[in-house]
Amino acid sequence: MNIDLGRLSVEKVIVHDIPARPVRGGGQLPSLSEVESPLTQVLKNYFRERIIKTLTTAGYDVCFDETSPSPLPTLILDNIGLGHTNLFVLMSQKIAQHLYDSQTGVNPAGLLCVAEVSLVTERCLAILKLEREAGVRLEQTVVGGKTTFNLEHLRELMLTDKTRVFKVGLFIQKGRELKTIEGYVSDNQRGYHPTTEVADFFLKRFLGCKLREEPQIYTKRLFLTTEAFIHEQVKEPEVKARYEIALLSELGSQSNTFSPRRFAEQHLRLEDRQPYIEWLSQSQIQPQQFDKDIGLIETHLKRIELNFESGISVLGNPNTFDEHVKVKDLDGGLTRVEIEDHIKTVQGKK
Amino acid sequence: MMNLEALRERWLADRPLYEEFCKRIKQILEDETRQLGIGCTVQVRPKEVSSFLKKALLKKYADPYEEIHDKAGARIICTYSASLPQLEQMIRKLFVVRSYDNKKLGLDYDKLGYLGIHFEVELPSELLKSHEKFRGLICEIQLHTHAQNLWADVSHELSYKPSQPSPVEIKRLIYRLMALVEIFDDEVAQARETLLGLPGFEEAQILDILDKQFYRFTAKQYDRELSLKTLLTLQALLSKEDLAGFDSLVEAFVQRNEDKLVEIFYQYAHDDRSNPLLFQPEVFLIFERLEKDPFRLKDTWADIFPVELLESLATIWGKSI
Repeated sequence: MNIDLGRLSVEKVIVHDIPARPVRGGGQLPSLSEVESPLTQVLKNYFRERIIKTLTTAGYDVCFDETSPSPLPTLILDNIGLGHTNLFVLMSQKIAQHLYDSQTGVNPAGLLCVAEVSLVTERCLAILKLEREAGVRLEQTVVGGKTTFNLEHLRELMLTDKTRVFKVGLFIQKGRELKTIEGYVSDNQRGYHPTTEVADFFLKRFLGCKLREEPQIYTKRLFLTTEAFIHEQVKEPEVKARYEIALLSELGSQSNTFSPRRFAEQHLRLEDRQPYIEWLSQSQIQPQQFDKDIGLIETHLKRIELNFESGISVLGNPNTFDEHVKVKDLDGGLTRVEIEDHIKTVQGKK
Repeated sequence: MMNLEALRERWLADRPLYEEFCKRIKQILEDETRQLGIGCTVQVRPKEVSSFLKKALLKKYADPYEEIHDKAGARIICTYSASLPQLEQMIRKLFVVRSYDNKKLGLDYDKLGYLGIHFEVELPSELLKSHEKFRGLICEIQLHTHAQNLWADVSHELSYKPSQPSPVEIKRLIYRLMALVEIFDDEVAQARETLLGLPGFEEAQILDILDKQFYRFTAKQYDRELSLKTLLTLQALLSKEDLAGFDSLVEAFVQRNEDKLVEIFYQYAHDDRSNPLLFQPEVFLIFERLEKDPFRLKDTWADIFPVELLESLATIWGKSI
């Protein structure tokens, strides 16, 4: 994410209520606002912070998928790329209707917020999908004879966690064509369901986007770049071994996400954390959480190997290595490795 | 014979224009003092009708309307006398100076008296282009320290002019007070300079530098005690080199991020739920460290405040920690 979200400011917000869509048909229809919600500077700041917080914690770069049937790319291009901002309300209603039409029985009821925002001089559009607790209704209000939703009430509900931000998409106008619109999306459901329809619903089916870089490739780049940092930037063998074990263990864990920032905090010494993040940044790897896919590096994660100048090697499973093997730096550049375990077999290597 | 009623009517008619003129002068002075990072208060007023008429009566003017030059008045009150030369320079740069009177310069070494600095100014031609109606209007600007300002206010109460001269004891009392004002400002300046130079007062030195930047972006008053407490801990994040060149380090950071800082201070100026540290000078150091090494900042932060407070500042700055 090569943008400074600190420059973001919210200009307009409109909210639509999107009920769940039962598989067998029927149910409620969307409740669409007819006009933007009245906004104070406090409310603008509140939405600004929610967008920034969500995207900087777990946002990833996306682009429009030209093969997608979603009408979103065209609607977004019309609004921010071609500057048809007077059609903001109509565009947001079309987005809301598309969200409702795309839902299947597994998608919960929610609120759709469409916000016109700016980033320095660039026009942007933010799309937030919120989940609200069952039974919680948002207050409606009338502005100039048209119905809309009360954002102050929405803010109160969000503060009490009765409504949570689930997903955010931010689209920035860089030109007048689809391919020149930069997109950033955060979806905290992707990490829990990486291969299911629910995971792809917001990004692909609704927004008509795809990840700019496949998770398999991004994960491999992260792995290789981190290993390079450990080998080139960390001097002490003992620390190198500790970091490598932590990397293999974290990437090989059951979790579907990996956060370089969290990895640095949990496993690196204080003085190594920022240099690590800067090292990753040189390879266009961001500090925030991303979807992990170890398909291309699986074999690397199964074994950790320490090789010594004498020709001796120690090979083991990263998950149990730390438990049985102690590495200690000695004076004169020597390293002591202690293995505490039961010997299973001793044999000559073929 | 002076036609007092005609004078009153004329001043009543012109006073709204002077009120507008005063507001413009206040805006110019506040913007510029903020840019210079000088912590001060700017007060303005068009002369009260009664005060205008009293002055016309008491002074022997040939043409009172034209000769009363403080119809528009402004006062800049600063904390330290060290800021006065900078403020003088600022006024000369901003306005066309019609007269200048530094009361101190007119006093012999063995005399005491009121020490304010007075200017009579007009708007320069480039500003008059968009404010033609202010052409020819004069504003009297007084520069005071807080102590001088206190004396200026109180001395009005003591400046009766009875037919009999004041008793010697009363004169002596007033002289002693005048001496105190001068001593007060000098002692404050000296104590401040000494304190800032002492080892162990690094946080005060840091605050002094941040304070200047702070007033470039906002006129809000901050909590000095909170600043010192925060900086006492955060100064550990600065290396010896950082401390030695702290002025340049902060200046460079502010220059790089000036537009962003203006936007943030503007957006949050009236947001009552905003972070309590946002309108504190140390926020510049916090933002600078969020860019440079957020991990160390977070680690040190936990010693003084809840991490949520830093997270909220990071979000405002557009980062996550």
